[in-house]
Amino acid sequence: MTNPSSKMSPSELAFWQAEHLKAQTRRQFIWNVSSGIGSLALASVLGTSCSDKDSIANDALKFTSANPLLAKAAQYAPKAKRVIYLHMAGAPSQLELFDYKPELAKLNGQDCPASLLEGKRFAFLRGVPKMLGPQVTNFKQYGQSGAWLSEHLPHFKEVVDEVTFLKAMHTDEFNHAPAQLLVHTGTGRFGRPSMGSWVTYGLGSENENLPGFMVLCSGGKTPDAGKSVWGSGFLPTVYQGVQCRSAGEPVLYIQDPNGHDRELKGDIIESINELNREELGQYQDPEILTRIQQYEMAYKMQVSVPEAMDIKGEPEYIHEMYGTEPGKSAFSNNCLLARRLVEMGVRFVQLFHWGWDSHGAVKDEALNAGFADQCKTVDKAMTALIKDLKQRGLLDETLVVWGGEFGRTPMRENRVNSPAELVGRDHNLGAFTVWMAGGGIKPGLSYGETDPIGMEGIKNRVHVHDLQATILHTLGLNHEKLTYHFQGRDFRLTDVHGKVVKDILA
Amino acid sequence: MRMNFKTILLGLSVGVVAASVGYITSCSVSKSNKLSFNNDVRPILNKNCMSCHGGVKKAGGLSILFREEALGVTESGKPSIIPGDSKNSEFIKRLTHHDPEMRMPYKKEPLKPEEIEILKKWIDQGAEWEDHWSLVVPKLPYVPKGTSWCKNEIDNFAFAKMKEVGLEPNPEADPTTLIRRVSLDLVGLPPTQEDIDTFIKNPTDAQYAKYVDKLLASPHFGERWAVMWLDLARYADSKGFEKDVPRTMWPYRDYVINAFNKDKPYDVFTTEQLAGDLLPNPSKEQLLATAFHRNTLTNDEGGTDDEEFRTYAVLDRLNTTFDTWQGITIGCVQCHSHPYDPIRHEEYYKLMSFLNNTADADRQDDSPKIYVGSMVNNDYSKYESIINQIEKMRGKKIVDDNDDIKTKASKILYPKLEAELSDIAAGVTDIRPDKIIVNYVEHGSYFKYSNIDLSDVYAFSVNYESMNGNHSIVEMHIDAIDGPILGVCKVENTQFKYFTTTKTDIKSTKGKHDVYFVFKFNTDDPRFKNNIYSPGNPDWFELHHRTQKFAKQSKEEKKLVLALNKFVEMQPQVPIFQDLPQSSKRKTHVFIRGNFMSKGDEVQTGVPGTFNTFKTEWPTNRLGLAKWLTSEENPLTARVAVNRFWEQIFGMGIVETLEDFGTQGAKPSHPELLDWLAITYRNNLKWSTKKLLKMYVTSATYRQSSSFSKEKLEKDPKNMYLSRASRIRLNSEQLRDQSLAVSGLLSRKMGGPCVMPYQPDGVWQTVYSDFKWETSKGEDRYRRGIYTFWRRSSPYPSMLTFDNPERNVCSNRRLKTNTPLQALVMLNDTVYIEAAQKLAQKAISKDNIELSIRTCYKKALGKEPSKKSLDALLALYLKTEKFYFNNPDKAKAMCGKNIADIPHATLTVVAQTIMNTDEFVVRN
Repeated sequence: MTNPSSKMSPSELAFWQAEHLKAQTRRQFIWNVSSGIGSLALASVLGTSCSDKDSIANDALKFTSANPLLAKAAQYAPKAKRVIYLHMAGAPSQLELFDYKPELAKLNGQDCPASLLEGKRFAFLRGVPKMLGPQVTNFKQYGQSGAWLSEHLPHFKEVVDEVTFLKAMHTDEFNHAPAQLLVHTGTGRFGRPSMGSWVTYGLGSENENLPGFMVLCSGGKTPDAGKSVWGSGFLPTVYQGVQCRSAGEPVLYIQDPNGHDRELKGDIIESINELNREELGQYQDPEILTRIQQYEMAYKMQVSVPEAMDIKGEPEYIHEMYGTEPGKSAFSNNCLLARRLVEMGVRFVQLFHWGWDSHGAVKDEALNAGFADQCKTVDKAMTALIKDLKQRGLLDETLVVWGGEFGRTPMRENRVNSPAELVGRDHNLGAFTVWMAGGGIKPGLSYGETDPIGMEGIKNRVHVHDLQATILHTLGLNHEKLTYHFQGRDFRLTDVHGKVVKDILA
Repeated sequence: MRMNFKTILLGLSVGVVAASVGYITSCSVSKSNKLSFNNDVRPILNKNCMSCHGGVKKAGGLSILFREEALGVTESGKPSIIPGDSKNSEFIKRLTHHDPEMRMPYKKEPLKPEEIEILKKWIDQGAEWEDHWSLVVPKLPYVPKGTSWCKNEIDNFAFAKMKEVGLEPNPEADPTTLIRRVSLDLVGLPPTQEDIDTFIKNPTDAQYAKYVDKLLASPHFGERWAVMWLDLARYADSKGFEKDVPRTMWPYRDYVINAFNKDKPYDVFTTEQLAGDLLPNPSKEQLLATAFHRNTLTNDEGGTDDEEFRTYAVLDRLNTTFDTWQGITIGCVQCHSHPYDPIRHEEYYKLMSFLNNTADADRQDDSPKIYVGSMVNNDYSKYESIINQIEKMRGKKIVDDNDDIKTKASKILYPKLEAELSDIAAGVTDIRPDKIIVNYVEHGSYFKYSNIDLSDVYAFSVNYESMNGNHSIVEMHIDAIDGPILGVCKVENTQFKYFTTTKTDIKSTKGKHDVYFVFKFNTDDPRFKNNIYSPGNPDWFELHHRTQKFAKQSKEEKKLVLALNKFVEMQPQVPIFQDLPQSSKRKTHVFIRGNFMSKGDEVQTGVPGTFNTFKTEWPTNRLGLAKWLTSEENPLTARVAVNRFWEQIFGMGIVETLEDFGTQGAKPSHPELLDWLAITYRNNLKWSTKKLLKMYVTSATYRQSSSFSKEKLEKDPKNMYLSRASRIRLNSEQLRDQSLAVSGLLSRKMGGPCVMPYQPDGVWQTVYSDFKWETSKGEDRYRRGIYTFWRRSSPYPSMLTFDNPERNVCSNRRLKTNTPLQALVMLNDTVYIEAAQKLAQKAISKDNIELSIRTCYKKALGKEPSKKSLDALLALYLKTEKFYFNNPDKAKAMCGKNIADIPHATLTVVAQTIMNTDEFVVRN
């Protein structure tokens, strides 16, 4: 398809482009993705930072309503350009993976002392539960960094020196949906934009033919908090995460109906745009020009998205490395896709892998049953992701984050109706482990420490808001200045909290 | 494009970035004039001082949000501002202090000399504070003199403003455009060809007014306006959070549609939704209206703290009430006094107290609920006759003829005891005669019946379900909760899968007593006595009399009872508001820093001091709150309402920030017009929304064409000064409805349960729920967009793409974006393909391609295509025809038939093209 804009005479086109720019100027830095109604004060990104040294370069002001996702300069020099966030939905137990607690083994089976329960809120623990020792036989230190890993992660030991472990993470929410919302939107309630939306709002996309924020789910289910964890909240919908699916259309509505083919679709879009150009002549509304461009972009996306999502062309050794299962919505496929997407310039790739809620209520999730399978599912693929990014020279500028929404208790869960042979742990907001690797993060570090039973952090605790502040920081965004004015106040991802964890920055 | 940061700052300080024309505060100060705090002083204070000396932060002990605070003694021991004496006011000294550590604003650029002059003069004039404009009760303004262009007062105001900024109105839109515009605006559907033709023949004011009246009387009017309201009500068909299971809320949606159709006065509409249950003898409709605030999310996730989520719902209700009726964001005040607007921290909790006394408590069953059977237009005669037959069999009158069908059925089916009070952990709840099942009865929960004659009673029965039955008992106490025990019932385990009835003999006693049925765990295992496990949920209790009250049921009667029972079960139940009895009113505390776990001082109901006063004759409950909101002295309710409707009709509010009338929001572009409209709506039109809208759409301002001239684009890109009509992209509902309407697919069936039109497979995949999207059959696939099932965790994807809010929280306006994903929906979504197929089928004329295309175009847009457009479409037709000739399978798919009907397939492509043009997706 030829560029429809070329159908205008050169002078006509020049006139409209000039008009368009002028309109933008008139709007006085209002970043307008709207039909003249909702106007978004870009100044809310810029305004507060004007007086500071690290203010956004003036170049960043080249926003047009035609492309609100245009790549923008960061607020200061970024280390990372892109993020891959691997969310382990359901919250994996840190005590069986990273946080080695020999003391806890000694307490196995004893009554939990009352002092540990006082003033705490739990989802399911009641009365006096018993302590539960680590449900693994082998915890060892690996790599130069001497990172602790359990036998459940045999592959991951190969890359521990690339990784920083945040061992004393903590959160405020002890139920899945609110805790996932807190991780991704900065609050445990619905209605706020997700991290990926904030990042694409702040930085735009590096690829015009792909959405800036893409989401991949595995584990059979979407996260507990639903699509709100990649929603755009009060930010314009253009910043919401676009879910890529492995069954059906890769992105909703991207497939041509059976009666179309590429050429015909090109003709249709060209005709639409021809009629729209006539409309433009009559009404002279710059928004029509935007629509013309969006139809062109849609046409291009129809090719670029399925291409990006098609892993068949990857060499055999790559498939082997990730352990892919083509045609399935597998975590391994999604890790490979994540690499492909960041390679193509997608700004934020969010993975959700469901199935870590180890209460010991059913076999699939119990620590002495299904938990091991879960670990197998992710171990090889997440290791491959780091190696693959590294071998392509992408790891330096890609931040990889792995973690759940909270941790698990050192006490055994004592639900009345659970089968006696299964063991599990309740939700624990006091301590969990998150790891980060790549862009902007020191490699080979274990940061933070929990008490001898892994219940609470005792040193270098990192709150979820601190993690968010740190992620934004690596991207060159100041979490206190990436704001959006809504309902009378400036909102930000970290609400009124968050401190950058400077100790882990490269 | 290079920008100058100073300009940005100036733009921000005015509050409305693009509103600079005519709104830049004058910086020159004349000696004699009295300064206006709002226009001259407040902008300087907000820009430079408020971030450190406002509601949240009181650096050095100084806050300038309220006058009494600002004049008070600061940490230095001296007052900062001395009215009438700028020379000795520390406030002024600090602005020019030589020591940078002392000079304010701290570590920032000093104020400009002219700004300091203003502040000095203001202090010398007495340092008077003024309420923000929106908090001053509107006064009827002088209506500017009109010209021949003006059709009603709106035009007088609009024209005067255009003159002021040097603009001229556009000519009137052509009749076809105007008819399409007003039809889409008022009923959300395109006009019929007949309507267009009638108007074109006789495009007079009278004819236009007649058409407007017709639209206002259409039942589809309510469907269009309900969409706007449901965004505010955060209406959805599921409960939210992890499980996000369906919840029957659609009867409330129908209430809103009916309210708009009946032109329910806005004050009545307001009162019913906030406090319908507190009106004297509330009707079912009034009770149903209170579902407005039961649209809050309920968290059914395992192991949640119900009180936490109940509290969250109450806070959300308060925020929503203020967003919806006052256009003031109050959410900030949950944690601290408002940083910009004069609302104090404790005032938030005083307001919250109005809403903190309802019986709902984040329960899984969403009780309390009502049956709304009689709201739905069903034929109940069959059930009426069953009731009559049973009455005859029983040989006595049981029901009251005035009862609605559900109450009648209830009286027949449940001649059992109905508890008055029950204590379930979070508080005390009525059990109403509507057979509300209480979920989550906990250890120690009780159900109370007052003043029951037990002389003839020998046993009681309880009907219940229980998961932990083997450990549970129900004790029957008399006179007090710990009074004498007459009997103990052992509960059996039903796995929460069915209800069972257990009968227990009791010790006999004489006379009337209060009876308490107490649910308990009968085990020492402490885990059970914590609030996570339930001993069982009762459905009803019955006392057995020695002398039979009713004759044994005959087989015939049993059959009838069963049929009636089934009918009752099928009736939709909707969560509503209902207050706890006075005796068990909840206490409301300030939450320190907004955290519900750290409770501060107890507060009583009250309203913020800067708003209209709460009259002593009003009840201190939600009804009083509604009276306060709708009273003449409330400065905001009417302004916010007329502005909201204005935005829907004119594309942008007079106050652009619909959601913020506070000091950080936009200033009104036409303040006098806003006040005139507010007063007219309330006093002259008696809150009639239809009359208000008629005024809007019959104005000359509305009827202008929407063309831009280069001059207008430059002077007023956002059309703030109304010198043309705005071009508005249709919202997702209108887009769908329009496509279905022009193609003839649209079902005009109104109301009732939600429908599931085509949705791509695999969109719903939510944890812990096997609820499925099952595409509706028949005409239900083609209902208006408003009837589409809305699931919060996974909303209808094509609508989300077109900027529908997720409906988790109150949403004041939909931003209108313009994205490639929207293009993909319009080009590829099944509903739009089907509409194109149908449109093509209707437009096709044999052997006349041009006529077919023209008909298609006319059906879609109500007019003939231009020569250029027609040529383009013809060219597309010929290309496409060739393509389908060579690809008959594709043709088959495109026309949706078993044969390759090439003309139909080809015209479908043309129809699709027309339905994707800017002109189709926008209303001009």
